[in-house]
Amino acid sequence: MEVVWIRGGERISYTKPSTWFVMGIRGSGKSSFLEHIGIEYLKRGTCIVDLFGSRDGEGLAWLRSPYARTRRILLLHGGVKASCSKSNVDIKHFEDFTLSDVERYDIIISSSPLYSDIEEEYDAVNTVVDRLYRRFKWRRLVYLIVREASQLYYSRLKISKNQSFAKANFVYLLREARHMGIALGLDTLKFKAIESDIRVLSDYLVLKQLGLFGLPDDLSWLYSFFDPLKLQNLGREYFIIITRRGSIGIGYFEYPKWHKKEKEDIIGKVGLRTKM
Amino acid sequence: MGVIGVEDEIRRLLKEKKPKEIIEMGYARSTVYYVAKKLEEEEQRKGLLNVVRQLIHRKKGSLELAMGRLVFEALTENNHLKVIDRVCRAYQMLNNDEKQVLLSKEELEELKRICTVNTALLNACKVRKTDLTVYHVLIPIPCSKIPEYMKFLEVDPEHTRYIGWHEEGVVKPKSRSRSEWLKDRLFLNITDFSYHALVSYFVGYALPRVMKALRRLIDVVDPYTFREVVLGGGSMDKGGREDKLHKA
Repeated sequence: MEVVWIRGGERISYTKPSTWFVMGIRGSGKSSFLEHIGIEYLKRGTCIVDLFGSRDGEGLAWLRSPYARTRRILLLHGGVKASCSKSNVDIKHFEDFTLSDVERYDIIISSSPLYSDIEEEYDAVNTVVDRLYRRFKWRRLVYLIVREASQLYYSRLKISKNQSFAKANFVYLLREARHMGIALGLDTLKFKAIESDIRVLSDYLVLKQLGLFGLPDDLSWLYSFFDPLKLQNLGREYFIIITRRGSIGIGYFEYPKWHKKEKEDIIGKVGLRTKM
Repeated sequence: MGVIGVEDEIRRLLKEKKPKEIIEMGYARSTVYYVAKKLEEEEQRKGLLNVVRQLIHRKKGSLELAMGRLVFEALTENNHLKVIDRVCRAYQMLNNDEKQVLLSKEELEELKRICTVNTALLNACKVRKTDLTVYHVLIPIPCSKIPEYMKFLEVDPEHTRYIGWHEEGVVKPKSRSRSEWLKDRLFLNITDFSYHALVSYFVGYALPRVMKALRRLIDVVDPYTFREVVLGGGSMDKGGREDKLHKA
């Protein structure tokens, strides 16, 4: 990844529990950007936990990445049992997930096709998140990828009294993440009200192609730096980055070739066999 | 051949061949892939810098405001010679690189000729004599260039009626001979009817070309700057002028 800084400038750290927030329209490369950040963390010894992805199992694409052969991978499942021929891939039920799994494995994947329904997936996510947030001491950093970040909010809604409590709980998770040694990679939420709360907590705010609707009102000052029309149509490999300290840069990252494409049967391609 | 020489050679070969083919030619595998990776990184960097150049807004400064003002005046001015004058002034404020981005070399040279003639016509001196009014128009072009600069008169087969050498009122510098001095000037001493005909022919030729140049100039001015200029109103001319937006 390379960044040209147009205001300020700093070295991006992949050894700290930073929060990454990525905004962009569908198909702008948000997921692949989060994967790329995951790779940078992985190279430095971090454990990746890929929690939420699209319903078609995009998180399973890690199983065909260059790291699939050399890293230890754990697949979490619910009502759908799975088996894999790769010797470095273990599979267990989400209720059996423990904190020691973070030390033992390099990549932990929780993916929609391995659950009976969305409700069960929410239960799995809540279980994993609640256990991760009991890391009162830690040695190894965890990078938590939450691709459809609104889903994390919905999962908290399931265990909360009401929407306000769910929102507060969600914001609390984000604020406390660094104390638990958790780096977060989130993409845009559907709810504008929550987004501004998340932006305040993020260490790195990343803008991908913005499309028709452009920047939210509180970020419209960026138009004094960038051409709105060009920002609408930014290429998939390019992004704008704004750091917590106020540095602004334009960057390029190598789009992961192993990222799941639309319509692709990822389960078949990675050699998984599933059974309800 | 030194290491740097080998790398340059591989770099040149990579433009035509694939890495595997170059390795088969006898070059070290590690060196070929090292150079290929370096080339790829350089291409990525170039692509990134290109995106940076496209994305970054030009900072709104005094120059952009002045350009915006001239564009606004060109769009709202009634006098065609003044329209042409505003566009010419706007282009004269740009540096060479900026001009070449907007117009081709031929278009720039044409615009330069139009500006020269326009300035002369705009600054024509009106002299009232006892029985008629004459216009003195001094166009600083050598005799050899008259066909180029006065191309706008070609539509009229009688156009030579408007052009002639007149010695009345000519001031010659002492260091140069009269004929030399005359060679650098086209001096017209014409009736007001001829002057207005000359202007009509000139405007008919020059205005479409100038409007095309103006269209390209408008793209350069940030819409927000232009909006500021339009809402701000007023004029750059001495003595001021009423805000055109408030007329009507």
